[in-house]
Amino acid sequence: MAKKITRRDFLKVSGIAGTSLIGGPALLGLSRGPTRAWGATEPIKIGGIYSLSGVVAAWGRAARMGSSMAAQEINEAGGILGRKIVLKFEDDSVNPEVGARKARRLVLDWGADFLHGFNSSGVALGVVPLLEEELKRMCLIPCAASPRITTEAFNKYVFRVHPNCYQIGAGSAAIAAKMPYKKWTVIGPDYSYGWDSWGAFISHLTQRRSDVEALEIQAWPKFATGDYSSYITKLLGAKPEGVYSSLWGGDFVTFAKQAKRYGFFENVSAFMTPAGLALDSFSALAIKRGKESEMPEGLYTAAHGYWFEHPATERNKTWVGDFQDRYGEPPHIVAHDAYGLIYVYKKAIEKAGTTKTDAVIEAMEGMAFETPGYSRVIRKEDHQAISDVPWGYTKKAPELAGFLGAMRVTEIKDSTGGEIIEPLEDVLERRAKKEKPPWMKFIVKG
Amino acid sequence: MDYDTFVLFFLNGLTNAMTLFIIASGLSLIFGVLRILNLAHGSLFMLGAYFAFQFTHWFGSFWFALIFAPLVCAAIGIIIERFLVRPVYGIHITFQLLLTFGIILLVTDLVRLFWGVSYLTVSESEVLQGATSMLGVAYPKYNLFVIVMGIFIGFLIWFLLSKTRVGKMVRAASSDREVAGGLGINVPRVYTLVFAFGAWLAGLGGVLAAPLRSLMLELDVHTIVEAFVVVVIGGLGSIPGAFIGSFLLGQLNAFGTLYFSRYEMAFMYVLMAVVLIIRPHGLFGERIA
Amino acid sequence: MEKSRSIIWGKNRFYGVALALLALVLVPFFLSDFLVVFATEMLIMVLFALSFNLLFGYTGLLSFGHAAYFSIGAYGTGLFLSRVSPSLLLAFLIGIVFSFIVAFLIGYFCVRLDEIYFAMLTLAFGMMVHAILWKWDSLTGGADGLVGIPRPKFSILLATIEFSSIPGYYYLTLVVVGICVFILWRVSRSPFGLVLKSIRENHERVEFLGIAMRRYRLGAFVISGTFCGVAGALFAPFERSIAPDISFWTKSAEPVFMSLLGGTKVFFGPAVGASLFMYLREIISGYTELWMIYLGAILIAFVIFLPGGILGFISDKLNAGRRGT
Repeated sequence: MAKKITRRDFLKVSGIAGTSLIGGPALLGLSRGPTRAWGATEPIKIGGIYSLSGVVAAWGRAARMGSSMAAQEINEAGGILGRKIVLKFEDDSVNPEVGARKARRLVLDWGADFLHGFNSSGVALGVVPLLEEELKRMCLIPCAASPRITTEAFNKYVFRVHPNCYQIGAGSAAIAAKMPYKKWTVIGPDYSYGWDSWGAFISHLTQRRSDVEALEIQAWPKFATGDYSSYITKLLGAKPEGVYSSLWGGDFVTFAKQAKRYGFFENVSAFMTPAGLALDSFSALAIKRGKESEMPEGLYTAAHGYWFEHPATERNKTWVGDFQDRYGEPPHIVAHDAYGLIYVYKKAIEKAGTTKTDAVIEAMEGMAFETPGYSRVIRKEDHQAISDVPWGYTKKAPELAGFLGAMRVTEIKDSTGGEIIEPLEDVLERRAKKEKPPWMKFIVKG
Repeated sequence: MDYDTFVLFFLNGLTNAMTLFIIASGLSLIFGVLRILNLAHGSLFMLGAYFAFQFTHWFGSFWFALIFAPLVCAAIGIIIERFLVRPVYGIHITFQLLLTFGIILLVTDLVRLFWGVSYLTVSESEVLQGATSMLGVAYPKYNLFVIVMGIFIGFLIWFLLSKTRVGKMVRAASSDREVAGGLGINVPRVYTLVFAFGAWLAGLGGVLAAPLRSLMLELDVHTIVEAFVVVVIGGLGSIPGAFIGSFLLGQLNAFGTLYFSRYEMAFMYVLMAVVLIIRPHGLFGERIA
Repeated sequence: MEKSRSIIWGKNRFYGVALALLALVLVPFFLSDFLVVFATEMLIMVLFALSFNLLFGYTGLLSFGHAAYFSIGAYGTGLFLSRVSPSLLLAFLIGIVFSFIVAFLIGYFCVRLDEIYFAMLTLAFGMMVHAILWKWDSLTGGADGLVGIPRPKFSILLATIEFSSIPGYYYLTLVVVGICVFILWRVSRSPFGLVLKSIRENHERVEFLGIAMRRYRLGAFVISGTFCGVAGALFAPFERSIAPDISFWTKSAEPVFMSLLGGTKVFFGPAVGASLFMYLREIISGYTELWMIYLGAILIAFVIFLPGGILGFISDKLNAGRRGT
């Protein structure tokens, strides 16, 4: 089996042979030596699949920055089990079909020992079944946040080292429950992350407060919509007091620019977004060379789980400083989680004493780990990290002029990880029955 | 539906329609005269938007971008016409699509090379920020500006084509290339001019659209399909058709979102299918060989 | 046309086909898993392109909505496998029957139109299918699509064939695609195929001769759509997850480019084009993130210098050579 032709041999040979061979790549019977040798000095190959282009490209870029930084640190300190790490990144173009092709290429061709990836839950759901049935590699997810990945679509190869949108939504409901507002509605992208994020929020909020009502008029534009103006005027017509928005990345930026023109943020009393106001939106909405921002003050956000100024611990401050020295900008949430992710691999591989997939999976179940900002534990049964989640609101900050447009997230408070995670019995029941989440009843599409 | 809601959604539809019309009119004009289906029109639109970002970033003025970015697009249009399109006039439609799709790929990666993959934003001139009262409702000033620009461009095209000497030459060249050549009209030059003007319109559409959204690499593909749909609904080569087509699609998008937003993705395709089934050559189209 | 085919295959046609088949059968013995997966996808796309070309190259109708039948085949098969029963044969049949029905309904309206208007109407219907797959989430899973489609065993009497392995699925694909390509090839050479070709050359004259042109066009449309459905049916268990992206118009554009690259007037042209297209995308995107620049430049150069397609070019040369002697 080792004598089979791999893609690289194939490309080399066919490159020389030129166009005469293009018709039948399969017809080449040229055999080459084995391309893969096992040994203690061989590097550990970790392949990453992120959205490096498209509407959420800034999130893919951040993942690449964070994981590269961690890999370099680890290699400088002697690697893992004496072996160096090599990283390779592939662009999924926010398309599950492309994601699957890239995952196959990373494992079957490049020979990745481990995978990590996915900014979009849609892509994650497309690739996760392949892990179990074809690739037999584990994959750590630092960003894609739909709970379905670790419930209905769960298999033993998938781990999420980041709080999912159930946890973030439950955290936001605790804050919204203290507000006097009763009429809530949503604008979110029409796919699993958009639904689950709102669903987790509103189901918790209505549990805590029986007087809160979810409006029937909601906005579910598709991912990567360019024009939100009619959705904006439609929501304003319903006169909501609170609006929750699961838009993120370039979508949120487009929405924010259009909403501002219609006076949207002045007309709703509370605006909350779990991921819309992450670092990338701050820099995209900065104007006048970063002296001002198009973003209004007083919008609530979880920044998808991490804002670089919080927590104000020595460890976090040092790390943010290192990151800024290296890249010239503060770390995005995904940079933080992708950085942590490489160290999770390190810890688990060292605990297992081997890079064999099954042993590393076992080592990782129930394992505690540290990211620069948070201490987390991977729940054994569903491979979901238990983590605190921050919530704060936007405020002008002249000292942050430049990259961030003189804005920051302020007065950040953390919800406790153990209180906001989805109860295990619910997760296991839904996994067994392959049921839709109960909060889908709060989603009304006009 | 009360009066305010109606006006609000009508104006939303009109803003949408006018950005579409500016792009679609260029596409339709190029087809009407050169008989070229130019997918790369979407790329020129995207370039217009990115140039708008660059010029406002460098010179701090949206007006500067509004004037110069479309001109740069027109210059790029001249290059495309001279070196890529001119060798292949008269080839089958499918090859035109293939060629201009090649240009789309090329331009997308060039934009990626120069501006990167992160989304960028452009903010309009301060004069145009905020809302003003229009027909009794508060409405964003910038959107009204886009509507005015769209109507102005419509008049401009009408004036140029029917009231000027150049316009007469263009119309002559579009109805019969050989005869026009025989009458002493420099047909290749007319073609270059029309292509450049179309590119200018695409660029202008890009600049006007830039403050309404975030800029990213997919702008071209999203836009070109919408523009094609509008042009086909109106009838290929017909400028009034492009205007009516844009208007219908804009209003359908706005009021459709209000009443049945679940089907938003299908609006423009349902409209196009209905029009084509009833009128196989579009609303104002003539039969093409 | 007749001439060019006879030159490419000639008297040795049988040996040529046998040799190609033997090589395809041996693929899993010589190539790495990745290349076998790649070859499987290539075979599926070859079928997609060849069936598309029955309408495009033979009948002269440019469809911009063939992703619709591809995705209906894929969703039909995927839904049956994951919700109803793990029977691969039944699932394929369901997918194929559905794409047949949808192709018939859409084709009925489209074949009345010509040229670009035909293309735009097929685009419109294709995108409506896309919207339905996206928005009918209770059935199709919405934007996330169908996740984790099983690849079941295939039992005939006592023998059980395992398709979950990479070579297993490759062989299944090879057999199905082989049968379909053979049928398409027979169709293209039948009297029906000849009428299609004369429709392409001059449809007014064909109508004048009293042939019900629309009926022939519709026939070609439905056959073409149904075989696209077969390609889609193979694709669903191959990918294990499918999302509405496979019904977007960019997917419809793929067989168009593949056919043009290979040559639309030669039966196997689109097969060559499909292989070349996938190969180029793979080789270039493996080396650089800016793969679109290269692909774009190749497309432009191709239109300017080689408008007959690769096989079209070769067969023209061969023909010219023979005429010369």
